[in-house]
Amino acid sequence: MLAIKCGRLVPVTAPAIDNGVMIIEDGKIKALGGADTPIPTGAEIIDASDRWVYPGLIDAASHLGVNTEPYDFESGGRDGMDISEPLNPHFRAADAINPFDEALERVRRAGVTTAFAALGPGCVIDGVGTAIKLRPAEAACEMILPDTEQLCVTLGDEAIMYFGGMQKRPPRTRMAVMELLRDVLLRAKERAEAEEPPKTPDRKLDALLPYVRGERLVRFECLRADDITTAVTLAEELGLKYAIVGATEAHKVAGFLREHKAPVVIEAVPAGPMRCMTMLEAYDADFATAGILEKGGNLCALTMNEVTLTDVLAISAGFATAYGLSPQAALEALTIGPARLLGLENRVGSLEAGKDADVAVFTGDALLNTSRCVMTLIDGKTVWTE
Amino acid sequence: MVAIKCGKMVDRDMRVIENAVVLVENGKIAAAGAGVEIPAGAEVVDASGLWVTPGLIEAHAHGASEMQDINEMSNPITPDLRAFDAVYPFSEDIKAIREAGFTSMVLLPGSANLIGGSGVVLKNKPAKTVYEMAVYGREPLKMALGENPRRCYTGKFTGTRMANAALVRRTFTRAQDYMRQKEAGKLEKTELEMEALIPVLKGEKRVHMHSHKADDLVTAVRLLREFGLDFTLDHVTQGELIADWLAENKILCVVGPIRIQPLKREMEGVHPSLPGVLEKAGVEFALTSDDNYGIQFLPMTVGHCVAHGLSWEAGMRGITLTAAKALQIEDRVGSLEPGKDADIAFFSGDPLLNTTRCVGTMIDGGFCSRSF
Repeated sequence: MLAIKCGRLVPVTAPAIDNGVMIIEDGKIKALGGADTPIPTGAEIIDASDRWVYPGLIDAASHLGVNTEPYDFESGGRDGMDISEPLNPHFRAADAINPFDEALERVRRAGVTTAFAALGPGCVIDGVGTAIKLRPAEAACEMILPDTEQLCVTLGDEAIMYFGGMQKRPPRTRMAVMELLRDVLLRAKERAEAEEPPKTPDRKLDALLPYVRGERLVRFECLRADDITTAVTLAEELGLKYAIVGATEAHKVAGFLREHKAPVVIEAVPAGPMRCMTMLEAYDADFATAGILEKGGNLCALTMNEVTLTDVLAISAGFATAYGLSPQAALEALTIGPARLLGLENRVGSLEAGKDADVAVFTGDALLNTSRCVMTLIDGKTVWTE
Repeated sequence: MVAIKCGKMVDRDMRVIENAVVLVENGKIAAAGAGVEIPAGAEVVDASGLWVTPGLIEAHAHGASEMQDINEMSNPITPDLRAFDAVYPFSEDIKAIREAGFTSMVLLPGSANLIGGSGVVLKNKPAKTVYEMAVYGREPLKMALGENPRRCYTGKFTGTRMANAALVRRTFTRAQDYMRQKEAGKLEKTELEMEALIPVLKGEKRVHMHSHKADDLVTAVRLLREFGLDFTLDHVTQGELIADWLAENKILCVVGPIRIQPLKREMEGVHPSLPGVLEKAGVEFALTSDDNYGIQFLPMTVGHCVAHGLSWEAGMRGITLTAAKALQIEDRVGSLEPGKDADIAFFSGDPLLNTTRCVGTMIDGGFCSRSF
C-alpha cells in the first residue's frame, strides 16, 4: 500500500485537485481525492506535496525499443525498419524490442510510461507495431502489452526514396505505392471473405486478416497533404479502422479531415523541412496545426515520432499551446488520447481508481519547460526517482 | 530616432530591467536602460507589454544553405573551402530563424573533415546576396575530431583517433613551413590550402573545433595549443566528465546540441543537465542547437536546461553575449549597449519559456518582422 501526497493532482479526465492524495495498492490506483482522503495505517507515504502529479505519459507513435540509440552507423541499429521488400505485414515489432536499450531509461526519467513501438517509416507496409510498458525488464515479453498490435503503413516519399531512389526498383511513384498497397489489401479481403477457409497458409495475407476485417487499427504514416487525403480515401473505401500519423501538412486539409472525422496523431513540434533534405519532396510545417486539429475534433495524440527525443514530449506539447492548442487538449493528447488510440483507455492514460498506477511526478506544470520530471512509477513501483 | 518602451529589458549582465527605454539611431543603439528619457520627436515603439532582448545569436549553425552543400565528404583536409560560397539567402530556414528572434548566426562547414574550411558569420537579414548578410573579417575555421572524420574516411589515413591527430599535426606543420618560405620570399607556387591556414597560425582567425567525447576535447586542446591557435571547443557533449579541467584551462566552449537524439556513440548521455554542471565548474560557454530550421527551438531547450540546474542568466548569456564572444562579434552585437548594432528581439514573455513567442525582430535598427 502506497499513498502519494500531491501538491497538485492532475487526473486529466477530471478536474485537478490541489493538495490531493492518491492511494495505490497491488500496482493499481485504489482511490484518489482531496486532502481529507483517508490514508490507511501502515501505508508507505511519498511526499510530493510541492509537486504536480500526472498519469504516466504515453507516446502513441514512438520508435522506442525497436530503433536503438545511440545510433550505430556501422551496423545500422534501426531494427524497426527493413527495406528488403516493400510489403511486410508479417513483420512484428515484438521480435525487435530490446529491453536494455539506453533510450528506454532516458524516457522513463521524463515521465513516459507507455509507448507504441512503431515500425518504419520506410516500406509501404512496415509491419505490425505494438504498445509497450516502459518498465525495466529482462525480456521484451515483460514489456509488451497484449492485444495492442496495429499495422504500420507508410505513404509518400519514404518508400519512393528507399526503393525507387536508393535501390532503383519499384515503387518509384505514389501510383506504384498505392497499387502495391491496394492489391495486397484486396487480396487479404478476398481471403477474409472466402466462404471456404484457405487451404494453404500465406504468412503475409493471413497477417492482414484482422486489419481488412476492421478488427484492428491501420496507421498510415504520411506527411504531405495529398498523402493524407489519399490515406483517408483508401481506408474508407476498404472499411478500415485507421489513424493518420505524422500529418505535418494536416493544416492544409483541415476541412477534409473534419468532414471525414479522421483521427490524427501529429508531431508535437513538427520536424520541419530539414528532415526532408534527404527526401524527394519538402513539406510545409506549421506550429498551429495541433490547434487546428483540436478545433476540428481530429486530434487524438501528440507524438515525438522519435526514440530518445521522446523525453521532450511534454514540453513540445507545451510549445504547441503558444500556437493555439489548448493546454487541456495538449495534456489529453499525451495521456488519455493515445490510451484510447491504443485501446488501453481502461488501463492507462488518466488517474482513476482501478487503473494501472503509472504516475509521473513533475516539479510543476508538465507542459512548461521550467518543470522537470523527478519521479516515475509504473504499476505502482518506483522505476526512477531523482 | 526610434524609442522602444520596454516592459522588461535584458541588460548586458542579464538582469531584467523593468520599464526601460532603448533608443535607436542610424541602425545603432544610442542608449538603453531604466533612466533613459524619450527625446521629443522620437518615433515611439510601444513594447511595454513585452520582453525586449538583444537579438539572439547562434554560435554553431548549419542553416542558410542546402544541407548537402555544407559537408564536403571527399577529403579530410579542406581548409580552403568557404561556407561563404554556400549561403542561400532565400532559404526558408533563415526567415523562420529570424522570426524566432535570432539576428546573427554562423554558417559552419559540416564535421566530416578534420579541417573543414571557413565558416561565415551572418546577419539574418532579408537579403538577395550573401554580401548583404556576411559580417566581414569573421570567417572562423571549422575543424572536427572524433567519430565523424573516422567514419567518413575509414580505410584511409583517418581510421583511428591517432591518425586523426597525426594528420592535423602534419597539416599545420606543413603550413608553418609554407608560411616561413612565403615570408622568406622563397615560394615557388601558391597553395590555397596552405594560404587558408596562415591567418589561423597567426592567431587572426579562430578555430571552431567540433568535439564530443572527453578524450577528443583534451586532444583538441593539446593539438591546437601546440600550434598556438585561438579556438573554441564546440559541442562538448561529455564536458561534464572534465568540467573542472575545462574551467582551469579557461576554454571558451560552444555547448550543444542538447535537444537531439544521440546519433552516435560519442553523443551518449547528451542531457539538459550538462550546461548547469559546466556553469557550476566555472566554464564559460555559449549554447548551440547545431541545427538549421531547428535553431528556433534553441530558447526552449535552454529554458529546459534551466529546469535541470542552469541559471537563467547563464542560459540567456549563452545565446546572446557569449555567443557573440565565441564568434568575435561582441563589439557589435550580443547586448543592448550604446554603440552596438540595433539588433533586438521582442518576446511575448520570458524568452526561455516554451509558451513564449517571438513577436518582433529588428536588425540594424529596422524591423524585419513585427506582429505587435
